[in-house]
Amino acid sequence: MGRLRPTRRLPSTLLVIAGAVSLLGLVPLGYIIVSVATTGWSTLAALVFRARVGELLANTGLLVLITVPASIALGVASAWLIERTRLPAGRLFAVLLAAPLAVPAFVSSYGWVSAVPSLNGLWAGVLISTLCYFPLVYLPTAAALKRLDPTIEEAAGALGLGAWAIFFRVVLPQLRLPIVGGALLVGLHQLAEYGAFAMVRFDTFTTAIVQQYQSTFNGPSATALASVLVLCCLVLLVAESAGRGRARYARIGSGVPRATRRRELGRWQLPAMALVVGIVVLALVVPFTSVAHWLVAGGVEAWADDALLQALITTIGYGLIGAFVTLALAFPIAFIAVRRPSRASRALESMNYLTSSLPGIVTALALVTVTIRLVHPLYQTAALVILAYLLMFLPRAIVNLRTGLAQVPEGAEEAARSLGRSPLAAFLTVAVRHIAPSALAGAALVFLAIVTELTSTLLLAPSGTRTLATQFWSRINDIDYVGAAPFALLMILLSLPVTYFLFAREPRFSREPRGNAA
Amino acid sequence: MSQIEIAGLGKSFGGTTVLTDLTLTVPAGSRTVVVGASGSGKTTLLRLLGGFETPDAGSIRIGGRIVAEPGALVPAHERAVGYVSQDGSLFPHLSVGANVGFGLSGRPGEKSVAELLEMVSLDAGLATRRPDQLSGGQQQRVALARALARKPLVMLLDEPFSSLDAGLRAATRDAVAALLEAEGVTTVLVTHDQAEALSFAHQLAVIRDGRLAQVGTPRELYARPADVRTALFLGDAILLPGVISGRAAEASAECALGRVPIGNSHPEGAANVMLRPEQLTVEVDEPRGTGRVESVGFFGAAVVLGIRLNPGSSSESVVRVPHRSLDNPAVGSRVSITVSGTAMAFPTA
Repeated sequence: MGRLRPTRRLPSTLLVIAGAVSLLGLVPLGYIIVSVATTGWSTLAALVFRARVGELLANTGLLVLITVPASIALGVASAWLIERTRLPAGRLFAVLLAAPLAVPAFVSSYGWVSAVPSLNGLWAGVLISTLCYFPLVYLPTAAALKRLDPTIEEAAGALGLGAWAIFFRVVLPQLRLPIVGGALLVGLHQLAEYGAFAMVRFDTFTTAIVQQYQSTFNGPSATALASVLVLCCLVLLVAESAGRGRARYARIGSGVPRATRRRELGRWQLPAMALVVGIVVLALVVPFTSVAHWLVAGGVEAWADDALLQALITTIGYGLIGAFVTLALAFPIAFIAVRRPSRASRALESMNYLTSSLPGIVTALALVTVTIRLVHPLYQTAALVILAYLLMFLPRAIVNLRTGLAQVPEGAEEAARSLGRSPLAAFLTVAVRHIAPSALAGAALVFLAIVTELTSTLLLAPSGTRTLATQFWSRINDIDYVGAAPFALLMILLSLPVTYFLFAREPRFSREPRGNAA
Repeated sequence: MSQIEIAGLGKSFGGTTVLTDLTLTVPAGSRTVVVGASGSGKTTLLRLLGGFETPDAGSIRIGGRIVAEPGALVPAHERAVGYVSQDGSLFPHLSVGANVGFGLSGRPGEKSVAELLEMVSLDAGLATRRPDQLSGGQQQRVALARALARKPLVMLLDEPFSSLDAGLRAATRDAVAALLEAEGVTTVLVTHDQAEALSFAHQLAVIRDGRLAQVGTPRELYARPADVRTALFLGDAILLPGVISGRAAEASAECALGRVPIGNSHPEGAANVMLRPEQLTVEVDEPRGTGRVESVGFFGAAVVLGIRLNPGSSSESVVRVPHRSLDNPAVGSRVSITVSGTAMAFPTA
């Protein structure tokens, strides 16, 4: 029998990495706080209280206030049609409605501007960003609808409620968490998006900060704008946590819920089809047609661009390295959160969520300033770009790793230990198999985000670095729409399979119970 | 010789005390059952024995060597301890054969997978199946074979039969008991099921709120429980108020069933008198019987008679007594009740 040895609460390397990553995550917010504190009130007031800031605030506010409800309406309506009705070609539409996530918003915007050159201002911003981001509501809502216990709806029916009343009084309240969560993501994307709005000449805080940065590098005025943007972001976070409410939505009762019977659409079939087809046309067909148009116009010569292959390789390289680094550094945080839950570990985890909800432009500004002042050798290096990706996309990896870790049957791991495997060997032989799919999904999400990232890459990438997104953007700035098209296509081709993999991982489209199928 | 010695064991999780000053020895080759309600700390005890937790106080010795004390332990993989959890915890990604062979190291003298499967009365043909293709009982036996492969000194079983249906449960339990006995493996089983505890154990330990309430043979604990709660936990009991008189072997209790000798020492005066229902024999005794049948509950082989004793007197009370269903008395009939054996006297509340 083995030797008696002191017990260790937690592998200390994990703790050190988790702590260090979370502290790094505080850099962007810390930068804003420190610069606001050191700028002095009068300078700051002069920078913030001016007509330009008021205009930006109105623009950004209106954008969020219109886009978020519109995304909720589109997302919930399409999720309900897909999950609860016998919509013709439902399985196909289930995929197509998620597909806009694979098209970067600035590419979609490029497609729209090509199709309708007069498009500009607030309504252009609303149209494009609603079409790009409503899947953030659609996907979680559809998943929640599938998990809802149909007997609750049957009970409501037995209590005398009609179809509409059941939806509004029983179903919709239970969708509160996915709707509110999705709405927060839509809102945060509005605050962070740069390319899509710049393309339609609609000024938000983020576009203004980028312009300011490009003209005066990193003056106090960019920082002042960034601090107001951070404030907007905090308002959204608070609104979301208030919107979540206190009610519990866990299913009461045991066993596996039965699959839901789908509703016949009857005379609503045509309007329902019109809605779904309309969304797909506006969100996918228009941008794709434009890209196709420019590709045809450019012909073979457009593909002779030397930058194309280089940008593709660089983008894939950044995507793979960024995904790997993020996954590796997210692991300690997720492991501690799942295996050693405590108030401290929850605080550690949520610190990282806060950082990633800040717009990328704020993180980029912070990293530029901090590296120039404190660690100059890091400035303008690929490592700094990867660090920015890490801070921005860490939660995507954490959330997925958490889910995977939580699915590991602890009994199996302990069985392996009692059968002679050391804790590490037991984890590797038993747990890793359970975590691998979720880890892969997390890595895929990070990869996807990096491949289509524009704003912070523009600010941080070493000069001469060419990624698909930045090369696309420089063609657009030169009004070379033909030259931009191959880059747009490559970005879409890179992200489509990854998006489909993520979509297909869960059986999002619920099957009907056998014997009930039409 | 004692295989396991647990001394003054204590464990708490985040301010909640789960085990307090728990002391227990398990003789080599025997089966000890720790029985308690859920939340009593029995699973924690098993996890401490398995090496998955470190105690806050006390120590555990296995085979005479300390394996756990505050701040130090021999980790699970270095103890010769087998562990079978409630659901078997088979590795879902491995075949049945690979599960059973998981702990084998390839050294000579080890049993083969086929031999191990045969030991738990499973067909060797199952080796290629996936765990999810087996029934619950088969999964439990595979888990046992997997744990036996390493020839553990000690086998820990965490409610291993609770997921099986009633018919399979007793058969599996007896087979496992026989197998562990034949292999000479010291066994600790935890359960909340008193019938399972009584039938499986050589030594029975009742755990309550993280402390051992009583330790002894199943018969001892059933017939002579230390207190009312243990009595009720281990089976049905009839509790009647009574008055104790006499000392030592002559002590007896006057209660609604008349004068009953008591088997434990209790000061003279008022007491709670406990009898097991099967100590009572009911006979129809018209018209002199002191009891009147009020209800007859039918359970197939047996009936349960609700009998009102001494109606109208100061010692009126109702007892429920099992009786064979062939000749059960009718509701309203007069019966007399004779008591065999001794009663236990406990302090009144």
